[in-house]
Amino acid sequence: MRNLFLVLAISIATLSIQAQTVRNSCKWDDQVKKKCKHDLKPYHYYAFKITKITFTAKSQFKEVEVPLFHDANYRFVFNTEGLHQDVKIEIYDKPASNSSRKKIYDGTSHERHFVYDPPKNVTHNRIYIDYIIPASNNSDASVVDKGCVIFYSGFKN
Amino acid sequence: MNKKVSSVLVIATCFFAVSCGEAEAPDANPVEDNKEAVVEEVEVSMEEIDEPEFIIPSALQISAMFKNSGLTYIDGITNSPDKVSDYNSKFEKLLNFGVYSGDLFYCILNDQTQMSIQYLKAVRQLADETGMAGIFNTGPLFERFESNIGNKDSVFNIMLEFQEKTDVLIAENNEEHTAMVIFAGAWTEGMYIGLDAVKNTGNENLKARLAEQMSIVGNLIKGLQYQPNRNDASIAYEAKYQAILDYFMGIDGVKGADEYSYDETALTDEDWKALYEMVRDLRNEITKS
Repeated sequence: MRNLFLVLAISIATLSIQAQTVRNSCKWDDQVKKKCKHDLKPYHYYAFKITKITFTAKSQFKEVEVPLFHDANYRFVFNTEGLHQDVKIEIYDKPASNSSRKKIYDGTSHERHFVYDPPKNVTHNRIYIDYIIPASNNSDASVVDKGCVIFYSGFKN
Repeated sequence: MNKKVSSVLVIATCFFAVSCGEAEAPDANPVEDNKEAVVEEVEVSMEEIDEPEFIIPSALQISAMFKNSGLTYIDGITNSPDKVSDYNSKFEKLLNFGVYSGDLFYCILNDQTQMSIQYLKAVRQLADETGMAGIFNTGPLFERFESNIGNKDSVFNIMLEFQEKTDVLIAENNEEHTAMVIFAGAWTEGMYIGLDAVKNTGNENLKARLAEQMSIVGNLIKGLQYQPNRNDASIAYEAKYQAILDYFMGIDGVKGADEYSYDETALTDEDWKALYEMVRDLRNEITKS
């Protein structure tokens, strides 16, 4: 019987240690969708992506590659209302692995909702969006903060 | 150790297994409408399953670019909508969902109204059979398509909406891997039609657009590799896309000023023919033609 209690006590203790609270601020609703689609005009819908972010004890880096085609113009719409901690958003002509890449946009999610039209002369057939995610500012280790960036893109020939 | 203790251990082990299983799976509903932060008590693992970090281009835009480059309608080149029930596995159905989407866009852009309706029906059937009925259930998309069939601009806008609904549904359900397979099918069909036209006409503008498409094959392969249920068939397809990319990248002078641009003028007629044959064989395998 003593063994039984011991096993139960160890199990409960282990579960308590592992339990964490997820605070997910990701915002994707009709209001965000409407706002993004409104700002996409007069461009035609091209692509959509939800980039999910989990803030951790260490800073992180995420790079999203966007293919672009020669004879079109593009518009990017970012909505970062679903982040309760700011991330840096930088756009480059080449990936992070390329030392000769040029930065073509520099901003932060603090803007919450913004539009960017990449200039045609600085892009090849793709463009790279870098999210520089700082370490979580939440000191409570039992809480995991998550969020997301909503990205809409449009094209115009 | 007596039987009771063993039972407790088994129960505890199962509980851990279930907890950890849930924690490691991608969020079932990671995207929520939350006026305030949503707080939920769950077991979590700090490890997350990485999703491919690239955007899948719009197959409709690719079709439109080909059309703008002089791609005309070739009667009988598309995959017959009558074959929609020939595809058995989910992977085959998704690939052909993409193929039929490509055919649908091609017909719409070339004013083939009756064929367009047939292809939309085929796409709807495959959407139903692959758990994506929501694309058509969230509004009268099919009915609007039929009632606007004579109006090219309206139909084009409805197709943009179709594309967006597909992308959003996929993202909301954490099914990005599904989008990769659909795109692979659409890309293959579009390239097959385009390369066939180049073979017959030598259209230089179209050649440039087709060569540009080769820049996304690498991501297309990564997308297929990301499938949670990779099997011999899907791995065989990956190898075929890789062979197409390897052939293209191996052409003398095809690499442009840097590794991100290409010079389509480096391709000889032989190269175009070889690419056509590789894509044709792959497309015929996908469509069981």
